[in-house]
Amino acid sequence: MTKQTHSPIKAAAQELLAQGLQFDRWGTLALMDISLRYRRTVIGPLWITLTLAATIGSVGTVYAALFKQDVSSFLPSFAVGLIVWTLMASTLQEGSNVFVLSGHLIKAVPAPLIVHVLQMLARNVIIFLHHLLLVIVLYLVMPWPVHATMVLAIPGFLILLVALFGSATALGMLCARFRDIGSAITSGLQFIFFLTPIIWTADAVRGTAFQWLVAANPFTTLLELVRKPLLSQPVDADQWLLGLAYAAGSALLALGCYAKYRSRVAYWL
Amino acid sequence: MSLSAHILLQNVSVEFPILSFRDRSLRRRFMRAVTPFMARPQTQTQTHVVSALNDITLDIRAGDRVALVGANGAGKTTLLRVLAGIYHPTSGHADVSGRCLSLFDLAAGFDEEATGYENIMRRGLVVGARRAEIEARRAEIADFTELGDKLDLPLRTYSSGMMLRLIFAVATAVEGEIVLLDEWIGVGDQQFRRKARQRLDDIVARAGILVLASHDIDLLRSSCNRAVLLQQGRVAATGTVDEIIARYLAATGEARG
Repeated sequence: MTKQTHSPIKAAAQELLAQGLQFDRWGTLALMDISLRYRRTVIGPLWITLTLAATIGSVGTVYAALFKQDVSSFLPSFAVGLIVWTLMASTLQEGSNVFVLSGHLIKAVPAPLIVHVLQMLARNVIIFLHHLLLVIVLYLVMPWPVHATMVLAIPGFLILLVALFGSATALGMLCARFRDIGSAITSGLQFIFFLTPIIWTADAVRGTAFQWLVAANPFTTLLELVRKPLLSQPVDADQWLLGLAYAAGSALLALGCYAKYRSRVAYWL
Repeated sequence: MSLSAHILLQNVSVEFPILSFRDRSLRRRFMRAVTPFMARPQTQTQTHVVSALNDITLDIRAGDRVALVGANGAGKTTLLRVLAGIYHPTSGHADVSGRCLSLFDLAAGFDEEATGYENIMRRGLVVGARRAEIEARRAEIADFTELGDKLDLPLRTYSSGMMLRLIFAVATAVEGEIVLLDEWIGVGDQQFRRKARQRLDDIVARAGILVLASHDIDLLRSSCNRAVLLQQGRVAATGTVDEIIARYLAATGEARG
């Protein structure tokens, strides 16, 4: 509540940066969330991993047969695709509820709003890391070539995280104001899942009218930036640029929303 | 006593949009936008606005012990939330310099499933303390609660008295130059109540500014040195505690009679 001596955008950016660097705050809260949610279970978050493993094993082999794909090439691609998709979908879905669900806290304790988004994102990343176990298991069962370009999955993942962080922040604010967007997101994500090359491969649509669907889908681009390096496949330079553009666009959107509406959110809850 | 604390409110208003379900729907906005003007139904929903605070101007300086007096719904809690920085004024300026210790909604951030120790960490992080800071104060907080080994048990096993001890100990582990209190917190059995009272007295004594919203007239008389009477979100009067309380009682007496 200091007097506005500088531009709101700059103030918002400073707040975002300052809070983003307080890793111990949102990171610890996220870890606690997960440990509390699975407190009385034995294997904890690995339950979700097991469910995912069952889906990958059953759906993966069936679809490989249906689309007449080679299981040893389709299964890893499907598995990594589904794991990354789970991160994207759950972050966006939880992101759209993030302020509504922390409503009582936002009205009780003066704290920067972005902490709630960072905590939610960290929570989903921790679950994602559990799922990565499946990739390791798959690799041991049906190895694919190791290539130095595998480390490119890390910058790809960072790009994905920035894009998710930005869209979750903007969506969270929008959904605090207009409550019906949350349901739209849920059904929209189901729809997008089928338009993204996860249960089918991008090769299958090459040369058909649906090729533009793959090219224009941001989810495809962001997913491939993580998936292709992990599978030791090359990623085109234009895909990297496109991914960066999506990340930058969503970060700017979040910054704009945060600067303009962060003081209004408490009134909408 | 900290002398740097200062609160300056200039024409502060807080208005809540009452977003009914219909107003919240994006579809409805869309339909309204695409319906031709002539075909629009005449009964358009207006955005309802409830004004919780209206044109509040206050200057509170170090050393002030301000009593907020007013009926339920007069805007006391909203004003405290503005001071804490939770609500940004819809219009006007709120200038609060000094670290705020807001002692209301103390249970927010606690988790039933987490142990006492984990809740100390959780609530600390939620209110913005750093992890190392909380770890350093953990023993001291635990000591104050006198709950001993029970702090290793989940919160859901606590009695309400035990829970209040923990909540109070965590909330008052930090100090502030500006203390905001929504009703004095009294907790626990006789012995702990005395101890809590002592700690709160100490915190208030060290703070530069106290803003206390309460209906307890004796408490207001003993802890405040000036008072603000709120009526329907406006400052109806300011003055000494006795004057304002007399006015407040007279007004409520009229209302009853």
